[in-house]
Amino acid sequence: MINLTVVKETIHENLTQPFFLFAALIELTAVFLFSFGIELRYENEVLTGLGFFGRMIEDQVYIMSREFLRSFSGILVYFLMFLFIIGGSATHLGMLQSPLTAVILTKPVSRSVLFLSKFLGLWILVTVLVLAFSVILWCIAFYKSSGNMPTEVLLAPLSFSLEFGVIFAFSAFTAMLVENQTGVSILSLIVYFYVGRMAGNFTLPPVVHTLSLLLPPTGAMNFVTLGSILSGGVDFSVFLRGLPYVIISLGAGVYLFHRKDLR
Amino acid sequence: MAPILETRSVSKSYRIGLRGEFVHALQDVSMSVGEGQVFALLGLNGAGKSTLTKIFLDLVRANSGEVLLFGEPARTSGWKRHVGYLPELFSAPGSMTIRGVLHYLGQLSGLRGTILNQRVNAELEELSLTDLSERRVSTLSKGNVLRLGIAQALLHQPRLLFLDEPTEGLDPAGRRMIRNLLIRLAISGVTILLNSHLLSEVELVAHRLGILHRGKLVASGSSSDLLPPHQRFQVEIAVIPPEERAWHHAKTAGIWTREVEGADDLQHLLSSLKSHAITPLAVKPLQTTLEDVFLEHISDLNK
Repeated sequence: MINLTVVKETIHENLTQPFFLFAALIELTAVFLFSFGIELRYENEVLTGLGFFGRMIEDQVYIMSREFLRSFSGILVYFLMFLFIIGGSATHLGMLQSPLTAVILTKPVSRSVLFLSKFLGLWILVTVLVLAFSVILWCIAFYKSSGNMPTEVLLAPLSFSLEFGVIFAFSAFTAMLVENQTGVSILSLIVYFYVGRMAGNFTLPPVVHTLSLLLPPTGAMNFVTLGSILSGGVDFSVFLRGLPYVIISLGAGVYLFHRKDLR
Repeated sequence: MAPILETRSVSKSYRIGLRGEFVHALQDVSMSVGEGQVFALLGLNGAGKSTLTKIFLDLVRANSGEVLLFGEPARTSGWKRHVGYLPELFSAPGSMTIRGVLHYLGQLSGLRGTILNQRVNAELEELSLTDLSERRVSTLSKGNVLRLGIAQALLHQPRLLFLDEPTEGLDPAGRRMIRNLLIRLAISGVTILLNSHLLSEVELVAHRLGILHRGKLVASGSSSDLLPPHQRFQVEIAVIPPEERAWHHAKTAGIWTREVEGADDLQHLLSSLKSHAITPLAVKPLQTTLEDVFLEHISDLNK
């Protein structure tokens, strides 16, 4: 079901795309800021001060520590998600519009294999980028906190990686449905940043919450993970709910791709 | 001999936009190509040539009709190891090198290791791309991208080649190189389906021709089948002719011209002129080219 040559080439091709280059640049900038701009002061394994380029904050340190964890595990990667979604939409739509795709499909490669291999290549690339980025930041924070940075925090970027799987599967499916990059990007961004996170919101009225279960649980995994970290224990239910969405989206995408005429 | 490539009553139509015009890209097209033949599809832009090629390759699905490759329906994938394809406006990711593109597509064709390297080098040599092999696609000229497209189509030594506008954008030297390459491939037994606007090129390499117009195959056969069987002549006179409507009047020169086909018609016209005491200024034999035949078919249908 997967062609490793296509997976490898998808990674290589996307790595040189402007969106991904820009994302890599942002990651490098963040690593630079973390390395030289952030200072963590611990006393008896308790965070007592958080410094940013020499300006030390000592009030409300407990809240600050939570915000720090949130920033570390979420906000930086969250911003990159915007770039990855747009870049991913271009890759998925390229399957219908690129002359090279037409050539590949005259080789012994089926449409299903091409579709799934492109998806997997994209997912691997983004996951590796985000995880590598997060681990580097974690290592810097671990060093600066004299070993007080909890390992569990790394579960948050891992949960992002799983979200990439869900949202890329969704955008691969919508690419086959609407055949327009702007349309695919907008739909994916709406689902990720607005609609999808409803699936993780347990404070919604019961009816709305039940309906929200029909949505891909994107934008929710990170918060669930973060909550799990801060309160102890990990809730895997959202991850498990993401899996059927990936399977259904990819299945529907493959079905539509088989029925499409290539331009 | 069983045809390598065959369509039976293939039709394809699609709608432009959600509520747009319904376009009949192909209408009831039936044709076949035998092993080792070079079949050229001719037609204006939008005639349906590329659509027909894509239907053969299962990239576009026909609404009706049957498409066979090597005697098997195109929907089966058994033909995939034996087919090479150059799409119209071939392109590859700009960040890849020429060698990288060939390695990638060679691997997808099932080539590995030493054989893959040998084949890549051979095609780079054949298409005069060896010196450019490490250049990125984004830095190549249009002509060199086309050469790369042809190289990838030939990489796995296919038995059947689909070439969509293989000389578009090439300089005269490049066109000659591709023409000679096609002739060599045809001699070695490769079957070729060629789409082209360049009729003079096609005339030199194709065994058989098909003229597509507005989705219909309006003529097909060998060059000699399509060219008129009789020699055409142009007769020139300097006085007002007896049947004025049949003549073209070149006002500035004061000369009237008329074309006739075959020696009998020419003789008849000359006798008629003689009976009116008109001496022709000149009788010129005309050469009918494929372009004349093509334009004649197109204009007949446009009337």
